[in-house]
Amino acid sequence: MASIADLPQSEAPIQHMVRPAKVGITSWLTTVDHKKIAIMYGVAATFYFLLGGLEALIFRAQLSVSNAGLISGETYNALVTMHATTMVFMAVMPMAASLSNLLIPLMIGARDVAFPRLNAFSLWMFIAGSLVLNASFLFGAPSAGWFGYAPLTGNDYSGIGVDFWALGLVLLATSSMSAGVNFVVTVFNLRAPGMTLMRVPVMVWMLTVIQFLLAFSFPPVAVGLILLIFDRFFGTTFYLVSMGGDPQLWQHLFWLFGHPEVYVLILPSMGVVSEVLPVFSRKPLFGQTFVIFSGIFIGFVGFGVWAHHMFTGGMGPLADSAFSIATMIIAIPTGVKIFNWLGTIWGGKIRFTVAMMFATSFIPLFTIGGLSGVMLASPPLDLQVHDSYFVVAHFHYVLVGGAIIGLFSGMYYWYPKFTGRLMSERLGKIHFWLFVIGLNLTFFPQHFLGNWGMPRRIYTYPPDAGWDAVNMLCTIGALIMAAGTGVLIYNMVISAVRGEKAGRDPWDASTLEWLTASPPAPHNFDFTPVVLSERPLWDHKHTPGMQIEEPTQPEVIHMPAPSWKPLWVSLAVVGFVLGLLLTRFNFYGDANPDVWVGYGIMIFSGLMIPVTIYRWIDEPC
Amino acid sequence: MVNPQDASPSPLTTARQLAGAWWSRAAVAALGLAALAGCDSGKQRDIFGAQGPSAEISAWMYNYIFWMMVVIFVIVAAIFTYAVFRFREKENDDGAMPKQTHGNLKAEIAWTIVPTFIVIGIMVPTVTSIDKLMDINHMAGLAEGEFVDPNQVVYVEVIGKQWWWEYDYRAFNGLKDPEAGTTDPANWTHEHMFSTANELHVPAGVPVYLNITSADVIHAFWVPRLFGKRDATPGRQYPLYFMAREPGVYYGQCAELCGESHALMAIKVFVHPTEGPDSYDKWVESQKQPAAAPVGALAEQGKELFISKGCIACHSVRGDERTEINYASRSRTTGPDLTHVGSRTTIAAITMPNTKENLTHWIWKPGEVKGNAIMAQERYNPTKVTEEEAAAIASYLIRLK
Repeated sequence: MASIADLPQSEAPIQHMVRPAKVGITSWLTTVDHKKIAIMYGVAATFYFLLGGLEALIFRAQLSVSNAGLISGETYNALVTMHATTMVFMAVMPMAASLSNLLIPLMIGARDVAFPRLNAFSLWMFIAGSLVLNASFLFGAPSAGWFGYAPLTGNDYSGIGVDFWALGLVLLATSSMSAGVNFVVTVFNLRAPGMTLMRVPVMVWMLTVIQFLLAFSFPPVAVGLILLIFDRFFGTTFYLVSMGGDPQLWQHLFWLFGHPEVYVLILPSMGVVSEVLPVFSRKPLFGQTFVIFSGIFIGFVGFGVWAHHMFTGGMGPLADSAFSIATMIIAIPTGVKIFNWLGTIWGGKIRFTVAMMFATSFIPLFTIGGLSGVMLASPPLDLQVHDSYFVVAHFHYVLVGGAIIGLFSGMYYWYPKFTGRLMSERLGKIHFWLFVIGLNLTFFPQHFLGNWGMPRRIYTYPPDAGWDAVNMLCTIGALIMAAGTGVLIYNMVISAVRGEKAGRDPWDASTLEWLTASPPAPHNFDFTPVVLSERPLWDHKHTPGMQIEEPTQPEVIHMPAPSWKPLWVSLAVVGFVLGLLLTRFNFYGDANPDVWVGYGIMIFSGLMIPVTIYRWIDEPC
Repeated sequence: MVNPQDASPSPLTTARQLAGAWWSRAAVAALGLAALAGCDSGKQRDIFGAQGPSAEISAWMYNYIFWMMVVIFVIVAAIFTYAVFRFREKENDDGAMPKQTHGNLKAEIAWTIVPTFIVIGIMVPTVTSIDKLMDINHMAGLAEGEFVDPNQVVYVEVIGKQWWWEYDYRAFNGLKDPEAGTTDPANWTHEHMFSTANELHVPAGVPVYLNITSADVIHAFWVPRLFGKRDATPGRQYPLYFMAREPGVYYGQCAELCGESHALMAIKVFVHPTEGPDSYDKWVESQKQPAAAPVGALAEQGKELFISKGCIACHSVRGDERTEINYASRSRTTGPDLTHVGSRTTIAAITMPNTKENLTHWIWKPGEVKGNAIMAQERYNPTKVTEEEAAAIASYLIRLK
């Protein structure tokens, strides 16, 4: 049995074509290195995960007893809106973006993504969008719900918070669409020699499917948001009934994005589980082809189910039936995945590291969310539990029991690759038990609340409805989850300094990222590995005759130079958006806002957009 | 602070609870699935306490799919638990690799085909139930080929407004297209009888046709024991058919986020018997009457304040041309018709019991009861009243039985 120490190490000096890297803060602002970008996405996502959790704790405290007076209805609505927006767009999605950035090039044996500067641009647009969204707290946060149904988002019913919300989401949409295109091109063009599409790791496959989903699902919501922005800023009437508009137009545009978005959130975790389970069961993934194709199938059909969010909207029996059937069909490939994961651990030799504990717990927890999803797909049933706490329980099992648990598994598994050190297993186990117990205590009882008629998004309820005891239980569960998250954060920080050194391949893994140093050198691989199977590193270590050979001639490595240009373009776009927002402000307290200040900034920034893009194109890389 | 209180729950609830076989309830409770598995918990708004065909179809569908899902979960959980314990690496492991299985085509085909059949088994009753819910004849308990008489159907136009429900009771008024016949409810027309708010009154055992819409943002009308929710969307009309089997009181509330006081937009449904002193017909007759004249000096002063303080800009009291708003001139800010406000058990969309003190508080400081309500907004209600004036108006309104 060969070990990782037998990996060929390059002895000849590697010939680089790398410009000297900048140092300090500049090195982060100008970086085009996918690993550094991954770290920035990861840090931002962790921060927003904590912020979103804090928002949830505040409104859970309000809900723990009937007739509570902790926060007002307006504050409550703002907190639920920002909790969902934060968790979806600023915690889980960038966490997936972080993994995409770190893993896609490493797992396919590439040195970076196809368009490194576009990658940096995606990051800055994400940061900008998230700051614009959260800046709304200073002026009155949006309170129309995360799916912002028109006409509640109109000028008649909502204040300036919705302007921040809509513009912030447009910036995030730009970020996700450009990242989607970038990663799709990367996966289809930069794979190492010998890595056929069926040898691409399942993690990369799932991440590729979500990049397609991002590239195709964000345009509809971007259109919907721009129509909303025109309604709010320039007096158009796309959603205004009295002028012949239609509020259901927004629902279709939003959910045409919103449902593929659900798969954007869950597929990365399915990818993580498909990597972690085989490694710690010491077996290959059971039915890899089926897992890959079921993921692709989910991605395709995911575009045909959006109106199941609108069964109560009065679409008529034909549309209700069609969307109900399409939704139920998704249960089939999902079931295939679950059984393949069970097949993977079956007959293995399971080592329960923290990563493996999270990955295994994903199976039953996600199954609960999936099964209640099948129930919701039936309109006669959905009419009762739609927009009730049953739905809240359902999507939290999918998004916390599924997406977050899977991402935690990935976090413990790939943390050594990010930092070169292992996370503490002891603290990790405390985190695991607190979080899993907390999440079941919080979300399982919410099924009951829904069945007892408690609608979601109500800030108070009467005592005689009989919801008090169970709500208190949910709040206690939320506190336990928060304690678990505290342990996680402590573990992440302390392990970065004091953690055990990981070495290249701490888990005896099978994919190419573990061939590189931890953390990887800027150029990732000293030589481009030739891939002979779907488990190149495993076969290198355990299968005679399948070793990864070092080429006789050292390669010339070309790495892209750091660049300020993506940041400049982002700043120009943000200036345009801030100018538009400033047209809503009034500096002198008159009745009319000082629109000229805003329009002045808009015109200047608008002119700077093509200028900065031209400077970007002009720069050699 | 707000003090939502409701009358005691329907006696029917308790009767139903007692009727269930104790052993089946105990068995289910032992599994910890009581509320998930479709037992009536006796709670005010339990979706399993179905009291009519509409909610019964939903509850049946729930149980049908739920038990299938339980079976699937038990199978997955059993395999999972076995695998997790059986295939752990042992303390004295020999270090040999486990068998490197890459997959099994027969297993893949099996776990694709079996779920496909399960899904088909769910689709078929789903699609037929969708049609039943959209069929007023089915809701009325009629056999295939029988049609309800539009004169017998109670028709109410339900209009969601921030943050209360307007009920516009209408009488059948002929057909749009006389040649098309009465079988299609879309062909019926209705004329206005009277308006009321938040407390819906319907007869037992008679089909009800609610035509749901909104005057401002999207709301959703939901009374769990009677029917599942339907969106009230501005510019759209959503027909909801239901029938309540037994007299009683049922609760529900708005289920679509509709702004600041979304949580304070409840619904109370009184189901009347068809005969006797408390019959539905008697209630309709009383509601059709014009308002009673004020009795006593305070109430008379209240009526004058009701006029001079501008309450009449939004609220109508029929029977006096000074306090009556033309029905056709309503807008999205028009408030509840107060002709018989004294006969309602609650005010402010079931937020408080209808007492003189609560009414006074509501008129005096509406923003404390319901944040950002139209009545609390300066631009819609620029006139402020003192506590004494509010008490006078309340004493006028409370007598409008």
